[in-house]
Amino acid sequence: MRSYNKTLYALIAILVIYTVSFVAFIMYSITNFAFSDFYKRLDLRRDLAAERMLNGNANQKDWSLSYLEELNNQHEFIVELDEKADIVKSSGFNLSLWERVNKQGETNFKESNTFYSTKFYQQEGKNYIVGVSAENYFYTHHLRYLQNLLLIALLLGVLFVVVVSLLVKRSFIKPIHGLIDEVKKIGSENLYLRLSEDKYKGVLHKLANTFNRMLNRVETSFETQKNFISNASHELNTPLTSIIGIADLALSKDRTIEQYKEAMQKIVDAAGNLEKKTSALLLLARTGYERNNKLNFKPVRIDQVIMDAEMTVKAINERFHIKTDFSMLPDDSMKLKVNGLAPLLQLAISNVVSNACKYSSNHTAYVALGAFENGVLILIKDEGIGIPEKEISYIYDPYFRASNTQHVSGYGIGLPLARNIIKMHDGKLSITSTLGRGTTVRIELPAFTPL
Amino acid sequence: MIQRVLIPTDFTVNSLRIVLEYLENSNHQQVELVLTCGYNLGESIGMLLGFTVDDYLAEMQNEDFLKGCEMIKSRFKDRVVEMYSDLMISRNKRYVHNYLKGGQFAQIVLPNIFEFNYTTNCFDIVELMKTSQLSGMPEIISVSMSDEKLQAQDTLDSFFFRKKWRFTYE
Repeated sequence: MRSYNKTLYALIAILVIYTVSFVAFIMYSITNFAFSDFYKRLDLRRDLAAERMLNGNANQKDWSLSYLEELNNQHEFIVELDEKADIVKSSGFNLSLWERVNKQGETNFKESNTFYSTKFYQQEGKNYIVGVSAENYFYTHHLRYLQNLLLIALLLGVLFVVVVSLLVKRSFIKPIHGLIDEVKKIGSENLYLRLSEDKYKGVLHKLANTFNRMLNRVETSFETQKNFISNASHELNTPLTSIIGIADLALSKDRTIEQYKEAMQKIVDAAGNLEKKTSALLLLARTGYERNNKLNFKPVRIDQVIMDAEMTVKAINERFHIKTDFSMLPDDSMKLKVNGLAPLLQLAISNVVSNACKYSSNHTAYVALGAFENGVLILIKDEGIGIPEKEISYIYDPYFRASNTQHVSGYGIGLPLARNIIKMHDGKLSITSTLGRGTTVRIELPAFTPL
Repeated sequence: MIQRVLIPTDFTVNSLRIVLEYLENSNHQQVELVLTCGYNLGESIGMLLGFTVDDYLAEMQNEDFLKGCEMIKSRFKDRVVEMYSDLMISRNKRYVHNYLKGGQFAQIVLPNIFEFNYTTNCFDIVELMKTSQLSGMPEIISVSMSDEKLQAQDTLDSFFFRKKWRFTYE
């Protein structure tokens, strides 16, 4: 901010210097013009006076005045000199100015408000200095007026420059201060807050938008790291319960070798599932430590991810049904590719699908997939209990469970995790729900664009 | 040869079901789809002079509707050469005749039962097409829409979960 002020003051100084120089230039030019013009007029009158005094009748001065106006306070004078340039006779000349007169040629000079023009003449062996003096009315009146005018204009100009600069500064600085105040409010405890982009225009709007996008990434990373233990426990719990259940059941009484083999196979499958989840969780844990905060994303076929997620959900609970609507699959399979990590996307989708099954009486989730111009859209719908309208804004908070879910077990971890994973992929997860009628989760992911 | 087809719309995702029904039940002809809505300009001179179709369309087509259109284009990439929206700005018989003739429409798709959700100033062009007795009218294709009440939560629900699931892994 200090350097900003310095730049502003430098700018004001430049503008003031420019204005002063401009005023000085005008004053100088006009004064110069007034002087040279007046001297020319005096020279003409001096020549006429010399002609009259030296060649004509000295008392007859009316003839020249009929052609030339008399200047203000105009006086003519003649000084006769000897060979040594000493005054022999003087008429009407102020002798105190004798030093300033050129005794060999022409002189123009000014004393106070009176301007003088003199010239050396020789006639009949005698030397003369003939001169004319007059007051310059333009200099004494008009130039003074112009000088005052320019001084006032200069003062007003400087004042204007300063006031306008300070106002501009304030209008520039004010929104920046607003931004600073908004940013100050954001801390680790309220990372969900965002800058209000609509308040700002132009570059500041872009800045607020960029900052918000950065906050999105930071929030996702932060949440994922903060809730990693919960996420891990949540994800590992189901396959572990399944393994323990199968093992307990197998050991509860003596069984045939075939039955043991079957149980072992189930345990191997569940352990395989567990391994998949562990690797997905490890990927999740790495978020935030990768360069540019981006994981090593690769092109992934989203239909494949959905099918895998469905298999996973069905493996967890055999009562869960999933109905898939692929009627809107695009002709071009390239449109189904998204940039991301398959295990993470699968984790997110399987969480949402299993929630849909879990919270509906028919344990059925309807999944649909389509591709629009720049991305893919996944809809996961259920005809379950829905979410109370008042609570819908809290459903992304970890550990939050809606008031109508007491009879269903859960931790409130799955949906926030899924949302964070989708956000990591620059996607969007949104929920619409009607209490008692069902919930639809819409996931939008940007399409894969080869560089 | 590419056929130009007029399909009525109210700029809701739900109305795109008519497009889907038409595309799923027609032959494999390449088509250019024009989604048309009737729009009453009113009588003020300001409206008549300041009217630009693009501005109105930009205002009336919401994000989901555009995404729905894009999805149809992706789904029927080989058949739908072009798909865009347009407005019919008068019910006048001569205007309708000129609109259809100038647009060189080969077909008009009309749903048998469909409840359009028109906004203010919009008018029903289905009824207009049905009642117009114009010479040289394009072929009218009637599509039968299911009259089941939709229980859509998300606006795009209606777009997907329309019929019996035709493709499922269960």
